[in-house]
Amino acid sequence: MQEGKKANMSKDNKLMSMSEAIDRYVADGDVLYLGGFIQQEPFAAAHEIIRQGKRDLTVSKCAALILVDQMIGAGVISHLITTFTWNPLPATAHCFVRALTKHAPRKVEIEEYSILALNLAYFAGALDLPYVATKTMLGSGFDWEQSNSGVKNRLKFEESPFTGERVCLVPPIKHDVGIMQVQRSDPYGNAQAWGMLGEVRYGLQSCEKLIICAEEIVDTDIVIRDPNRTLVPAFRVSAVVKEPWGSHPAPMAGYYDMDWPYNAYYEKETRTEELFREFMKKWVYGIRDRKDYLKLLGQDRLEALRPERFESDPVSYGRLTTHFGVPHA
Amino acid sequence: MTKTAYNTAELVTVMSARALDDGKIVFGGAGMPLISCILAQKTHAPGLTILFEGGLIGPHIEAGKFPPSTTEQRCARRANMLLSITDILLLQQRGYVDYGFLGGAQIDQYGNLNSSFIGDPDKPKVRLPGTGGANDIASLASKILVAMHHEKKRFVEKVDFITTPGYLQGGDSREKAGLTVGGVYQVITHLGIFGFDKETRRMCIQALHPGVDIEEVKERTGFELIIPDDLPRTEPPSQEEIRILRELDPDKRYTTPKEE
Repeated sequence: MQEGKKANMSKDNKLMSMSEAIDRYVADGDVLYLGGFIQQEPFAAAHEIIRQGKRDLTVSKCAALILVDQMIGAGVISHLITTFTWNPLPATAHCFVRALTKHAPRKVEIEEYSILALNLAYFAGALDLPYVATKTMLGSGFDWEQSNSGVKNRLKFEESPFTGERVCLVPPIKHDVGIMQVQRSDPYGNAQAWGMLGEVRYGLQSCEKLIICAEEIVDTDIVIRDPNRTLVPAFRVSAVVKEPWGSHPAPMAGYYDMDWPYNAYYEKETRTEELFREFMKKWVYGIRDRKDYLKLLGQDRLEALRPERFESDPVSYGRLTTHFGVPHA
Repeated sequence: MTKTAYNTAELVTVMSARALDDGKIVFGGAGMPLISCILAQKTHAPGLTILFEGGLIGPHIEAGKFPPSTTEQRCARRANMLLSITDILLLQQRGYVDYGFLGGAQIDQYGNLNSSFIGDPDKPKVRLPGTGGANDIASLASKILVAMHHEKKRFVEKVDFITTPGYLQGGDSREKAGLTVGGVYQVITHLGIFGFDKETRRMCIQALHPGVDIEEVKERTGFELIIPDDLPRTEPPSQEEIRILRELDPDKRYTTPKEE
């Protein structure tokens, strides 16, 4: 187990199965960051967390969609840090609503921020700052100094010592473990991602341990030829899991589309606690791993989600022909 | 001139597009706001720059293939730039965004919106999705546009929770809270266009849509509106506007009126 800010070895092969990664690096009571802003969500990892029966997790996710809804319904989350929670159809996230309005299956404490405030909290966490000042959230119901709305968050509202203007102070949010599904990684954890990356850069940097789930495992040579695309370097990564289709039903740019009919199916099949239990029996508890899950979905369905290739023009980083002005031998 | 037939959702979309000036920068949301932005680009505002919450600048969206969400890969396939969310929202904080475009479940007489909950925050009666970036947009963009269907249950005297700040408690309370820019510029509904009194910051009606009776507006509003003596009417959507709109949304996926 990694302790504190100890770096991981850049040259350790960290490939392992999802069950091993979750077992080794996620503990009961952990503060978890789940990456992916609507796309690239770590569904396979979340399902394994549920199967292993982890308890009392604090989950922080900028856009909490049905992945978080499932974790709430399964009772593994006790504290949720987020900006909004719904089914992206858009429709109601039923487990979320049941947990908040009826405390079923358990009460979930909710700590809510706007997207900018939460991103700045990740930023402060990533940079190890005591706080960041911003001009959002003022005056609204989240500004508890003004509104007495009863909403709980860790924001403070102060006058700037420099200009005297009223500002919102955002505390750092740090995480024990971060999990993200990316397009590709080498076996050491040099992970590359593209598309809408949302909040993930600072989200991942605010975590002590990282589990990288990848559609493909590639040679380091592929990574080093395009270093601009690397999201996290190997020394920050504890585990690398090869998990194709690991974000379904969320999309993965270049690999698969969002499965909109599945989101509609989820909405219908989770309207009651009983229905939700049946749903989870089929898609999570009753199967061993992601391979079983993909068999349940069926090859035809997966193929239908696959996009045509749409490549950007390659860029050249340049291979220089001289060194200190002297032509290479 | 022949009269153009249109539904109420198309009417709100056209009126919203007209509110966007050329050369400006707009933060658009999925659905109707986005279609309004593209309609504006294809009519009077070719130089309008569209930003999305997911971190995107200048999407290139094809007619008939509107993304169901502005934060999904359909938007990112062809775009001028992809930023992180922090960076795109900080563009607003630095004052680069002219219009924020919002919808809402509930609006009050000072333009505050609620998309969080109704009742006790610990065990609310109704739980809604939450703010997302709406609070940021309404706190930081220069002019906020709100487009809604006009219903009494949505136009309330006081929202249960201010998710998205308008003029807060009216008067200068928005400035006092530290929100020194912005405020709700226009509320556009299927009945008319609404603004806010410069002193009290209470909602007033600025114009009625064609064929709408002011009594209907009063009936569908849960608080007292300021009504000027001389109330203008908006120009009805033109044939050209409706033609482009239907080209953009041929299945009327985003321009079908919501049932009440």
